[in-house]
Amino acid sequence: MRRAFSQQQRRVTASLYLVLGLGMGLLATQVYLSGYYQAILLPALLTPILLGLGLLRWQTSSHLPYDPAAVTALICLGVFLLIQPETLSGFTHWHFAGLFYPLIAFYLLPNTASLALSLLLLSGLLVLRLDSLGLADQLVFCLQYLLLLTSAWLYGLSSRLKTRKLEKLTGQDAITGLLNAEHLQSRLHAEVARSRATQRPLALLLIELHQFPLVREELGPASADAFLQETSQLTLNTCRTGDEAFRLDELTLLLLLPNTTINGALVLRERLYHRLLHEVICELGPLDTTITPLVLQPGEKSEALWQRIGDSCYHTLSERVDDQLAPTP
Amino acid sequence: MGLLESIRTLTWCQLLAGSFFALFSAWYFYTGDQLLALVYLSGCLVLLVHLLPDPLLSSDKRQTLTLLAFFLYTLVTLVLLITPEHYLSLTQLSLHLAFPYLAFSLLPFRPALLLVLGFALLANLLAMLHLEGSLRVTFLAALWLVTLMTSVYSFTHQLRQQNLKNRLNRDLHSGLFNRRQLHDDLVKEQQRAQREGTALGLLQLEQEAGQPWTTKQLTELSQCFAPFERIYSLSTQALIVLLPLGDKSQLQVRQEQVGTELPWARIHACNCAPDAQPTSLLAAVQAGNQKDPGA
Repeated sequence: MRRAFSQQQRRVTASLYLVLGLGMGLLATQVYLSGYYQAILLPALLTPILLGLGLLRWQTSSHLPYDPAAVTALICLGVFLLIQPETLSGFTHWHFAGLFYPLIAFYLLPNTASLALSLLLLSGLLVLRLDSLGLADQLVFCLQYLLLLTSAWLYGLSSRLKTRKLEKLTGQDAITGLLNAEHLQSRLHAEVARSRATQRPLALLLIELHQFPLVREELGPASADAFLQETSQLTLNTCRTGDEAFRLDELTLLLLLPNTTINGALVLRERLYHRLLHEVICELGPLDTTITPLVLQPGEKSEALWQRIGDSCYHTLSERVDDQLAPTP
Repeated sequence: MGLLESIRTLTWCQLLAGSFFALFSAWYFYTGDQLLALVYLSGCLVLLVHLLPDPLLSSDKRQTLTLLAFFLYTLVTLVLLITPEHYLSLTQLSLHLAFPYLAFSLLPFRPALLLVLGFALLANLLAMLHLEGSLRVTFLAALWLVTLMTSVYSFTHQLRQQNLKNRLNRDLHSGLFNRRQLHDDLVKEQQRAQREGTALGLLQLEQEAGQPWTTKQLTELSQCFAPFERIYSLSTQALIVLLPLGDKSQLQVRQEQVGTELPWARIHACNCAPDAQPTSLLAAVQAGNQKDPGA
């Protein structure tokens, strides 16, 4: 579902690049027909760039926090607004297009980058385009620009915030459909209390998929998600009645095994390990996974167990060693 | 950025936008342009209503007031396209581009979409009547681009939010687990009780007066139960507690304990048979049936 959502968003963004590209194409044609050849360079150059970005985003997504296509498009637009010779009837058209810029920037990029680019353009406009205006007009323009910038910022923040709040409340990991780490914390607290009250054992299995980062890097996010989904589905199918599966972090799944001793956990570990090894297909070679069993110690509290879970992950070992070796002030 | 940090940034952002509107309103009032002063004042009012803290304004009242303030803002913004001294200034016309951004960020999706589309159509009509040449083309192209961009983007977010709402395992208002999670957990706990040879009980809690639960009462109530005795919100008035028990006889004892600790609550209890359906169990506990419905 999340993938479908990002695909829809990607298509909207791609359409925006295509519309901007077409706009540039129309402007280039108009300039050509009116015979004002000095002004044709930028629109003619930017048309294929923006159309290309549109086609690229229509087909593929970017998993980088700052989409290079968006940065390129915004830089192109900024350059166009600052140095394109005037061909239209009045100066105020540039002025108006400049005011339009922050609305697009906040739509395409995260807040910090869009804020930086918008403010950069404002200073450029003041120096290159608005220098002939009086102080009062410049001030009004700046304030109007900042008003539009905050409106766009408000819009971006509020739409993302509503979605994030709901994502948090679902308690589910968006990719695997397993319960997420926050839900695990509350379940762990409850299960530790229950284990202490009923005097029954509690065990856990930590399943680390060491190839996950490599799969994502080499084969892309879609393949990495499919790999994770396959593994989590198999893990769920291997669980017994009453066991619960969670996604602890990016590459770690966790099985909570109530009323299970260390021997029971070891038996389940062997069964799960063989099933994963034989049934999960990883395109980068044989599956590289570690499954670590943990058991609640007598008198151990949920916070201590949570800490021990974090300390038992192999993939964070180097970070923990670095932390230990770092000199204390 | 964390969730809390985002909420703070959003509040600061609303404050900042409100201040710009207020500043412009004061400036145009000073220069004698009453219409523009009114436009910016109404924009400031919309943001102000949104920023008022919860104790001062209930959620319903806030929504109605925001809608009213937004209608006022829409009307006066459209009037700008009728008066020649305003529709010839692209700086002032740029305010129309911010309209969909403000509408979608401050109003619920459907009213916002209706307002934005209505506004774009009317603005388009007025621009066709009053603006000319490249000025008209620039304005209309920017207006429709912004309208379509924000509408489609908000629509995709709305779809995502709807899908997420269908998957929620918590009640949005109380933060407690919801009916969907209760059904899932009930089945799991029944299976677990069967595997471990233990029992499972259900408690339904309602207030004597049939009032909705307040946050203070929910905090007090959660302290009466162990972390593994999960509380679920069945409706605004009714809560369900899932009680893992050693054996069936413990239910009566637990019900009496809870009754002593929460004298103001009406409590019904029932034991869950391992093979009973969740819906029949809920019906049984609502009827105050003490018997084992699956037996």
